[in-house]
Amino acid sequence: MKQNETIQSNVEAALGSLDGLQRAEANPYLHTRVLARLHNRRKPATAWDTAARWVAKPVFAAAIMVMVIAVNYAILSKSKERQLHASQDIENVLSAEYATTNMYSLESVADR
Amino acid sequence: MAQQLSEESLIERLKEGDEAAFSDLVRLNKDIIYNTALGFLQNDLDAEDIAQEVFIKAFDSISGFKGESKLSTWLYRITVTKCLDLLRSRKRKKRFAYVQSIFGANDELVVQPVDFVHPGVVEERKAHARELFKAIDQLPEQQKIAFVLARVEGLSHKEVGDVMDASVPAVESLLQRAKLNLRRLLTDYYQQHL
Repeated sequence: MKQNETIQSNVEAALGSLDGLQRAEANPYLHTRVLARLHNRRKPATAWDTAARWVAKPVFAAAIMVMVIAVNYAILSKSKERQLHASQDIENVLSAEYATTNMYSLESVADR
Repeated sequence: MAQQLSEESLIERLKEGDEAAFSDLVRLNKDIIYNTALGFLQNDLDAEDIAQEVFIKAFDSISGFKGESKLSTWLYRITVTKCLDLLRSRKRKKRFAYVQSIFGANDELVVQPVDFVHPGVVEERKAHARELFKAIDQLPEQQKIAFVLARVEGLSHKEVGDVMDASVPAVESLLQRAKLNLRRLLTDYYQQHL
């Protein structure tokens, strides 16, 4: 019973603890800080800021990746083509050489 | 009448982008905004940060202010919205941190310190006020808005209604329910701690 009364008196005291509350005062520099934030925001963006904003975009990263893949693919297919041409050239040279030699040797045999 | 005229001229000057008018707006309203934010957030650094954001938001959107309410009512609305947004995002983070902790990967401290005492509380009531603020933090959103505006900021029921866009009886009902909830929460607390 006594404990209930203590609880109730504490509850009432807590509920009444805001009576006579004084308004909290803001930091005296709040005004300066707000103005500083506004001025910082108004500063025109430099070329570096703009570049950084572009680079940070996911679309930019995706575009760069697609470009790198495309360049890689182009280089690979070019080099394969070049290798193919090179091996064909060697074949042609060899076969021409071989055929000429044979013709020459056959002709020379017939002459004799 | 003179006050109304000066408010109208202040609004006009603000709409023209007059920096001196903006300084007047901050100077005249900084304490009411800070005190309200402090009532909701119960942390002086957060309250100051929100107060700055409120004035920046006011600067950005003054052109949209139609003058249907008092300038201070409009500022209170921005403050309440910003405070509730911050509290909601904290709640979401807390929930996410709880889920992360189940999977064992959470090092971030998201729980806010709870021992807050408003600097304007009378010295001998501070211990009780501390428990009251803990209970206020647990109130449903609408009840919390009504209670903080009426009891911490000291607005009349009519002014609270203007900020909340509600009628005076609706505000009174919210305050009544807030008090009942606070009484229940405080009774639970003192039952466990006495």
